[in-house]
Amino acid sequence: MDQALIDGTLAAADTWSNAGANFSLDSYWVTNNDVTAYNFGVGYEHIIAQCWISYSNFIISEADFIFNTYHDFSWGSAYDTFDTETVALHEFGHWLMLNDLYDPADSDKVMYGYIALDQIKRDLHQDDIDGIIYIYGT
Amino acid sequence: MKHVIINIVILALLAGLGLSCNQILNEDPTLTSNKVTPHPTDDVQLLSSVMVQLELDELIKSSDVILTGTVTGIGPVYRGTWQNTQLIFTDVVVEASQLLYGQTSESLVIQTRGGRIDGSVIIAEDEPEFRLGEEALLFLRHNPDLGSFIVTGTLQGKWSCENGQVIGVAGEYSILEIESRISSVMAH
Repeated sequence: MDQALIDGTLAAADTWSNAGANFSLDSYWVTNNDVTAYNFGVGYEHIIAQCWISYSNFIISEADFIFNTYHDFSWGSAYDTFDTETVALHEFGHWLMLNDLYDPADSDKVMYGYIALDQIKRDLHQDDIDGIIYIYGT
Repeated sequence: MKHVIINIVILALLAGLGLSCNQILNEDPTLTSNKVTPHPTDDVQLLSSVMVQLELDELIKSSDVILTGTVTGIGPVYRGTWQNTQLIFTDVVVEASQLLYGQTSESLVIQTRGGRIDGSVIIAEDEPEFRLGEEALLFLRHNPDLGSFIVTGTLQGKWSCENGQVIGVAGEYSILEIESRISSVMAH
């Protein structure tokens, strides 16, 4: 996987791990191919990244997310790209069982379901933090 | 099995002719929605996405067909695999009432990701919900491989019809306003 994707994703994992909730995300997913990248194909160009979670009897057995390589990504200052850390921060939120938000009033939150080109959102909103603390405790 | 194979051949022929089905193969009369609530013992795959927000003009430009119609049938089907997981889709049959752009038959099939078959569930949070009997404004892209459609922008391409207005993530308009916007966008 492209280094920009890896670096941005590692940074996003650290952000969630340091949010004050009782869990951490280690880098095992990097070598375990839980984060990958491929082109989603015709009709799904509007999707920047997608998360897959497998569970049964309320136990999560697998979590993956995929960057859509139809788009260009960067971790840094490149224009006309999607920021990998911003995208990964959102997708890790799904790993932690947080849902998408679509009300424009929630646009500042990491779990807002829409993202724009060149948008940087690398800090958790207090509501994002409250969400994971509610699920996992402190 | 022979009956299923014959139906699949017929479906393939209809797809090749660019026609759409007025009866999906696995229509389930007990289903009232393409969205399912899993049972606790189900094996569940949950799909969640982050996406670009599409304004009305972009929805129009990205669509092959734009219409209003009523949902008349819903049925899940296995279609393909990903990482050794059988993918479940739910086909939705819509009877068109007003074609605003493009060409299609009066009855068409829309493929949505997700559904439930035999204790296996896929939930695609970014797919719109279709309820039996509901009327909606739909922005659709043709899926040439299947002869069916997918919703443009997933949940962004299905708008509700209420009191003569259509309401979606990109705003609230009358049908006349939508028609006018389509003409304007397609003229450029």
